[in-house]
Amino acid sequence: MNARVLDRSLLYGAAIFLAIWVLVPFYLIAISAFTPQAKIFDYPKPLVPTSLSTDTMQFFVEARGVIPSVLNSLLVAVFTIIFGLTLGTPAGYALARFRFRGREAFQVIVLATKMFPIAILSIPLAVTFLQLGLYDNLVSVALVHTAMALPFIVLVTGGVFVAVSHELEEAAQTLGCSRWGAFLRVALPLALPGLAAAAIFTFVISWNEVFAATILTLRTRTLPAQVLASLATSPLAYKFAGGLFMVLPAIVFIFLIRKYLMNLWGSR
Amino acid sequence: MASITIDGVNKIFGKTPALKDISLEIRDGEFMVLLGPSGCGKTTLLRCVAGLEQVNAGHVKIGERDVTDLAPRDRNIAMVFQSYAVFPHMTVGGNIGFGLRMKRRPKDEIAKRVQEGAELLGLVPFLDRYPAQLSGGQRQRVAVARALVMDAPVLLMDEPLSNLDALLRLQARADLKRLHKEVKRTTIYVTHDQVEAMSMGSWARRWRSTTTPQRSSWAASSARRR
Repeated sequence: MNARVLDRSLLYGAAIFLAIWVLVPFYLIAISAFTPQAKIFDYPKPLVPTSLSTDTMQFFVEARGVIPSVLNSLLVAVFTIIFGLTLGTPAGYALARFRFRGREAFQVIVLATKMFPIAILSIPLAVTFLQLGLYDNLVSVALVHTAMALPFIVLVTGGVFVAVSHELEEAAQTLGCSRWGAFLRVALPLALPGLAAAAIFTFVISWNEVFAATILTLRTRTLPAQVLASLATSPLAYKFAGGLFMVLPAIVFIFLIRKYLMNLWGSR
Repeated sequence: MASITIDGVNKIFGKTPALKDISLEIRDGEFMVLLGPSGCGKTTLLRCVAGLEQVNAGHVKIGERDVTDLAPRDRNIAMVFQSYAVFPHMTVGGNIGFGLRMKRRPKDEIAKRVQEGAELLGLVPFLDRYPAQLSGGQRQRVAVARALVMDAPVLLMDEPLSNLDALLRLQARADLKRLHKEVKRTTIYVTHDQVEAMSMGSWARRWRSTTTPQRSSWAASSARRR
């Protein structure tokens, strides 16, 4: 066995191991969600489910508040991505391109915002939002999620723009683009895969965030907040159903956006 | 067509002077080679002419027009970069036509001039390929074609051959010479390769930094007509 074969098998071995590591829990949750309630505690669990039923899932989906909370969650995630990328991309670009006074300090401050646990911030935020009349409002939840995601967005997009050669933008400028035009036509398209990654990350942060969403909403609950509020006292079967239901959109979203991550231009 | 007048140009990066009182005149249609060791400021001077750097003092004139405070796109120049700076997300044809599209030329004119440019540089078979599918030499030709189709009276080249292997460089050198004869643009060509400078330019001007390690002041030590 030569070194290359060994390299390959190690690489594929690691990939398979990681895939199993991630997929097995998903699989278990998925089959449990579709197992009839009576059989949920069967042990040992058969790897291939013997009897499937959509009863639990159906009951969960039809439960009051689930569908609206999914829509709420999606809206909040989309708002968060829009706010986050609109604010974060220029900051990342500036960090990548310009040597300005206080650049290092700015980077530290961006990271420092992650030092404050959301649990501490939530109560004052709730009070502030109440005073501003923003309480129980999807936009306010999205604003908090934006604040949570921004440090990542700034640092990730900064890294992305560092990788896009500045000479490409200069070339565009000598070919008739303004500074802004060169950014739009050259730097931005080349940065898209990286921005997509930042968007995925933001989506996941927002979709999973439960604490701020629980504190800041009452009637317009996001899905995690709804699940937390209603499933805590439900039978186990419904928890599996809820778990699967929460994971699915994230998986679909990543599949949709995956090609922007993998598909860098040309043959590579 | 246009001459280039560089008049008392100073450029300072932070506290390090990069260009000190540089004056130079390049006549219409001339092929001027700037030769000097790396780090002496040739590229900086070129970038000042292109408008990619702002000068701290002095003036740059193209033809009769003072372009010192103009953006690169208003200077009527075209530039070939050392890294070629070919756009990886556009085909060869898209790259060559980029500048014309930015100038909002009509579609059929763009198609025609892209075709001409590709013919001039032998790129016709590659028009639909992406830069990642090209060799280094082909990419370099794309960069030259992209600059030439702009029909700008001034052509700036920053070590355009330094990333090619030796054999290809000889070939490309001959090609550039032929192109200059055909299109007669006023050209500034930056290189640190003495042989290249001697074989290309109608004027070769050798710059040398002074004894201090800082790239503070320069002197034109020789200039000779070929």
